Amino acid sequence: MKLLLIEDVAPLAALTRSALEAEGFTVDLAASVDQALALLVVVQPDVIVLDLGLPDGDGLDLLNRLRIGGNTVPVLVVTARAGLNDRIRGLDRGADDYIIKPAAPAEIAARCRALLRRQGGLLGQRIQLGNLTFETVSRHVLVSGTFFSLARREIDVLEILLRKQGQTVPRRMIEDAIYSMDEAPGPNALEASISRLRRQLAEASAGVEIHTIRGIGYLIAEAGRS
Amino acid sequence: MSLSTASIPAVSRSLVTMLIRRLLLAGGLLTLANVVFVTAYYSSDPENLRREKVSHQIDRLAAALSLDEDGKINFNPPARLAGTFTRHPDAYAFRIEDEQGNLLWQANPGLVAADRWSVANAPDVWSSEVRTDGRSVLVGSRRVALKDKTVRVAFAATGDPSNLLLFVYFDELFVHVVVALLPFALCLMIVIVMTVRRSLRSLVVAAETARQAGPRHDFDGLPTDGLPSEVLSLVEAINDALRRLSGALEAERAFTAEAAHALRTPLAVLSARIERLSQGPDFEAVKADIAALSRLVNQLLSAAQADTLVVDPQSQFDLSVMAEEVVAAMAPLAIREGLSLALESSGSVIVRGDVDAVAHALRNLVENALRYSPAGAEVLVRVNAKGVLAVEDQGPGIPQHLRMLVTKRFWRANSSDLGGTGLGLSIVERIAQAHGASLTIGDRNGGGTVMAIGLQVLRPNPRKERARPAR
Repeated sequence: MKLLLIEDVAPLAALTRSALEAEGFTVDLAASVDQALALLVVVQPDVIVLDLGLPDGDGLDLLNRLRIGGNTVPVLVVTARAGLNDRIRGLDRGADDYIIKPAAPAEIAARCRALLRRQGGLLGQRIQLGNLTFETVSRHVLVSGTFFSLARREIDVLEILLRKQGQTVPRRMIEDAIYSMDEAPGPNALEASISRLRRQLAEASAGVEIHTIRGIGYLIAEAGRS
Repeated sequence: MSLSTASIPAVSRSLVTMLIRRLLLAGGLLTLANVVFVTAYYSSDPENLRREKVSHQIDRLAAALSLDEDGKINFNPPARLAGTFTRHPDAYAFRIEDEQGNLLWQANPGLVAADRWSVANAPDVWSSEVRTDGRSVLVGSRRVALKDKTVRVAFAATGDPSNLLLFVYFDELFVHVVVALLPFALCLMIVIVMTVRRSLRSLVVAAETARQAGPRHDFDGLPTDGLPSEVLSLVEAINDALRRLSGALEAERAFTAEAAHALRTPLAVLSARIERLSQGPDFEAVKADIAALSRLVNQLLSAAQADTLVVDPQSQFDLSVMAEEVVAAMAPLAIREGLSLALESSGSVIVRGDVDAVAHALRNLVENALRYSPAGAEVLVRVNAKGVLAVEDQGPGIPQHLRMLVTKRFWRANSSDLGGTGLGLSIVERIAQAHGASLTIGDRNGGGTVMAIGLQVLRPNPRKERARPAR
């Protein structure tokens, strides 16, 4: 997993780099907009961690240039400016996620992995949560290495939840993903699928839990923790 | 700085109305003064007044005379005039003679002896007091020309039972007040009203500009074109004060942003360094301390930003979409604490306000609700079509006497409480105020607290379809 870390504060860059390397990332470091642009010519990172305050320019402008140039690499914005107003601006300008300084490197690593688990992402092939493994190509579900079978619709729901594990997935997003245009799902169709999925996961002793965020959607997490 | 609202009257009257009212009052008083003056002036000279009375009656008698085509003189006194003589035969008399002194018409000749009439026989206006039968009689006569003929009209009076003197007063008042003053006063009033309106127009324009100028807009001050010099210096002074104020506000905003960067970076370094230390009982404690410190720094900066928050009057957002986003983002935190978070929304509702600031307020309300929730409880965020954003918890509730305190800075229910900075609700309150709202704290049915902010709705439920969910 190649990661480009764009951070101008030297000690922070060094510490974050070594922590991310310990989490299994290969880290390239850029301390300015110029350095980042130069590096991006020769390296194609799988994910970029971008600090917004850079000595030679605004991180958001760099992000803008990347997106205009057609670069769709996932970008996690780290911002020290976020108070009341910087959040939406960053996400609107093409950031995939944002995190407010000071952020623990473990949290940065977790966010990066979440970005890489997205559809077509680097970690999209095989998704792990607790003792549950999901093979996206064969669409096999394994609990502690043992295959167990689920109906197609339940697999669809499980996949979308697992790709965003630990995050709330709005029910609209799930419905849009699993029902085609002409399939009009009944008002309780998704609830029924979730309820079957929960029962079958429990029967298979999968150490995961699907939480309901009433009025919003669902969230899958390892049982006993988020 | 704070403006004292007490100095601003609840209902302010228009300057134009005020000026017109005062001018009308002044006009009324002047007219009254004039009446008093005229009355006093004529009363001060009774002799003249009596002469005026005689002259007035002679005028009335003369007006009744006319000359027909044959050169014959006719006398047709109106009923009122004739009545004066028939009703008071011992008070009034008249005598009209031709040029040769032949009697033409007369009334009550007994009042004055026949020879006494000649006392008043002067070329022009003349009047005199004569004594007849022990009474003082006022006699006057005048030569009146009727084309080529001349007649002499004489009038005599003793006492004044018909109050003829009053007519003299009225006559004088009419001439000196109504005829001379009123048209002039009316014209002056109209001119003054128009002048006042025109002169104040530039002030109205300036006020309108000030009202429309949003605090976030590039404000070049109030327009000074066409302002009278007295108002101009006031407007310039205000513009100057506004520029200094906006400069100070800008400096504070900039300082806040700089401080954010300056404080967060070393904290980030510290946080990253700690991760490299060997695990142990102290490690977790230090990590928690750093987390608390980071939170305090974040809240301090948010508080500083909330203090200088000015909501662009043009800004608007979908409250329901914003709430979905915040609830979705905070749900993992709730789950980690063994609690649940839910949203009840009546659908899309467009409100006026700063979406980031309100989202920040909602995050603070949810964090606060989660902190005081018992294990397994649900924190519910509600959005209704009236633009009310509410957060309900199932915690212990807030006693009435503490409700005023919870929005005070650094106030905490329990000073040994971990995690809370004591700033959250004060930030929420400030953000609500910047939106012209306030944070209301109430009891939840079945125990717990409801905290709510009412925002101004621009368009409730513009579309029937559900709001787009958060990413």
